[in-house]
Amino acid sequence: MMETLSFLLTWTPFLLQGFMWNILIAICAVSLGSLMGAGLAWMRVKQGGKLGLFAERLSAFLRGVPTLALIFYAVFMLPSEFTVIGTEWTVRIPQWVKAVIGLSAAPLSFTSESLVVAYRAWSRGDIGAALLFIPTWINVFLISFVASSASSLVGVSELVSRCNTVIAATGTGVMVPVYIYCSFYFVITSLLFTALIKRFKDSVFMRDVHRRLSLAHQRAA
Amino acid sequence: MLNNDFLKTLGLIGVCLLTLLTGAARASDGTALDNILRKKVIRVGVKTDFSPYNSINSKGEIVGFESDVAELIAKSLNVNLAKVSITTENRFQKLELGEVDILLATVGDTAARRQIATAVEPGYNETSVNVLFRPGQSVDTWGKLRQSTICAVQGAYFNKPMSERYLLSLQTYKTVRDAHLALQDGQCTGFLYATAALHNTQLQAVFSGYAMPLPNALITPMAIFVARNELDGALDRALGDILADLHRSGWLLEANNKWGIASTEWLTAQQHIWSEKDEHDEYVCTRNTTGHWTPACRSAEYVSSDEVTGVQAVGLWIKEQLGVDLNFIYDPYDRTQFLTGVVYTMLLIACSIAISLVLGIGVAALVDGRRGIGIGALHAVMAYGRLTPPLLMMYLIFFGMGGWAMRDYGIKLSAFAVAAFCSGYYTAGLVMRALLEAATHIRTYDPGFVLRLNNLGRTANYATWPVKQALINLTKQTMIASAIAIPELLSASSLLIAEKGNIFLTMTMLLITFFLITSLWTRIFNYMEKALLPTPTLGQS
Repeated sequence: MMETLSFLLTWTPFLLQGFMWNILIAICAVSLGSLMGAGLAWMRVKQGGKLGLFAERLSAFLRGVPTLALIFYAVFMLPSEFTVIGTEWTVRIPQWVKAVIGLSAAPLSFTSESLVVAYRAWSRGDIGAALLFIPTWINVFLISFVASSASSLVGVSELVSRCNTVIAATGTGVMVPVYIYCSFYFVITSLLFTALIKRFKDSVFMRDVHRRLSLAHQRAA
Repeated sequence: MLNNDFLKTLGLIGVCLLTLLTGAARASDGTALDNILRKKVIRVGVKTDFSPYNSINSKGEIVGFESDVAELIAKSLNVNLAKVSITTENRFQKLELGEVDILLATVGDTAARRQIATAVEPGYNETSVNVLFRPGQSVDTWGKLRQSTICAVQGAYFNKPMSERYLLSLQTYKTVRDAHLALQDGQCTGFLYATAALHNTQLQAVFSGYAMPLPNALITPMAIFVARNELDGALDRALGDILADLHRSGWLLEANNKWGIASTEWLTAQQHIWSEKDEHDEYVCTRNTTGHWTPACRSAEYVSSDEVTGVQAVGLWIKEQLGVDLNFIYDPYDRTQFLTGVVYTMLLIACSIAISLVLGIGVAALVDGRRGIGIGALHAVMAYGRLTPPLLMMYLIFFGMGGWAMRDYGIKLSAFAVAAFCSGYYTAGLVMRALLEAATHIRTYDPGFVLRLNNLGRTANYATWPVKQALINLTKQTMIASAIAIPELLSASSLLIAEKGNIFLTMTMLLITFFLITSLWTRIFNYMEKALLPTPTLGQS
């Protein structure tokens, strides 16, 4: 028992570094996806017509395709490096960036859908429903965070792939402890995050935002 | 039901994919050799799990027979050497995408591979395949292997011919490590792989007692591969000349012995062929006016055209006329693989849905309104499932627990059951949470409400939407099962890509198929919602 614990302790820095990749990939994927999703939502709400329809279809398609399929698609389809036309610059696209692109599809379609719903709620004056967007959006971050482990299948050296490295280097006897230990990284981080969401939901800041939006809506009406 | 909107969506997908395709067209200038000489570095794709050809030593360096060859090539070209770690599955993609300049990665020279890349002639060693059996389970002729379950690695060229010829049922894993673990766990009776690597595996202590009594099969030269458009290019020529010299000087044979590779027949024969001189004391094997080696020195007998009938003929005609290679439609083996993938994916989704609903609803009805240590533990177990990545859970149960169950009790876990359980467990946590939150919400206006199976229908208003989202998410998640050798769509596609190199079409087909599958299940969920929810008897199901 003590032996296993000291073994896990030895490898903790190595595993933690991998875990940082999971967090980085999740943050990048959610940021990228949310920005593009907001763009699509804007096209649907403000532009309408053909462009709006295109945005709606695109977000519906991305919602129906598995994240892992998109990660593999990005890995196979994007070049690993390309030369910017007319210059000598060679831009490299590492594997993890491709994983980010694949993972960004889920937050993208989610943001696009929820923002449209939130906008309609706001137009009706249902500020509470519109503000539901924020906590649910944070939930999407959690989902992307758990899904980031799939990038190990395309060779990103994140936590799950580092687990396999440790096991390969030291023998299969440590397999169960290593996998369980690493699963707790995800569980504990997610629990901390959920607690933060709860506090954020009931925070003074959110009440303030609620009040301001109500005022803005009254003025607009 | 295919309505107009649906078809329009498909059209849109096509437009998006085209955009992606043009975006992916790489800007390349100059030939591969020019690029290598300009950058002063040659990027060589090498394996790291195939001792003695190449593996990682205790200092973390990649060493082996192929590393020695790579170093010699870099020295001859007067450039630096960069070794890029690749796997059996992704090596041709890396070459095609330009992530490596050459492949020196135990690649056998086959007709199919010559369609997706250029093999440098002559080869630098030979390869053959064999099967490493679990203790007491070996057979002495290939014929007796019929219908046996054999582990293999995704992307190996010999998987297809061997399983067709000897009717093997192959379980293909993503890495050699995973295949080794599965073999030790008794998931299969033997491991089909390259003979040299198996010899080496046999030397490890954990594999003592494992036997390899079959004669070597599919003896093939191993060649350096360069990109498809480099055929007869400067790089192809330069590498060919270097290799011919290595055969003549006997360097390859020496290196072969230095690394303790058992078979030497092919290299000995090659040394003889390449050193032979005519009466003017000139080598018989030289490049002729077209730049090719004299035909007698080329071993081209394995480059043969397939016999063509039926659907296959149509497919090949399309390929020749339009340049579109629909191999998974015309090739019976590939078509079976793709369809098997679809069937397994649908089965896996159906089983996972059943598990997640039964487990999620059951536990929710059990714990709501109750307290105690047992109930707290149930909450914790369900939360653990909901917050752990399903991939990690599959590794933990299939390889971790599975290995332990095999060692101590001789029980073999079914990969399909593990995959279905892991997806189901993950989603059950989400289903349970949705139901409990709905119950909490109902208590705001009916304080006495406690969730039980007979009043489940009352939560429908609040729980249906999140449960449906969780189930849709589940249908998308089954792809992860490919990590533990379920022949679902992703593994099927990876195999097709590795064997035929038809990346764009296979991946696009995969995306569209998955979109259709998810749409189908979404429709089923909507239908069930309409059909079941108005009746209060849902809870008894």
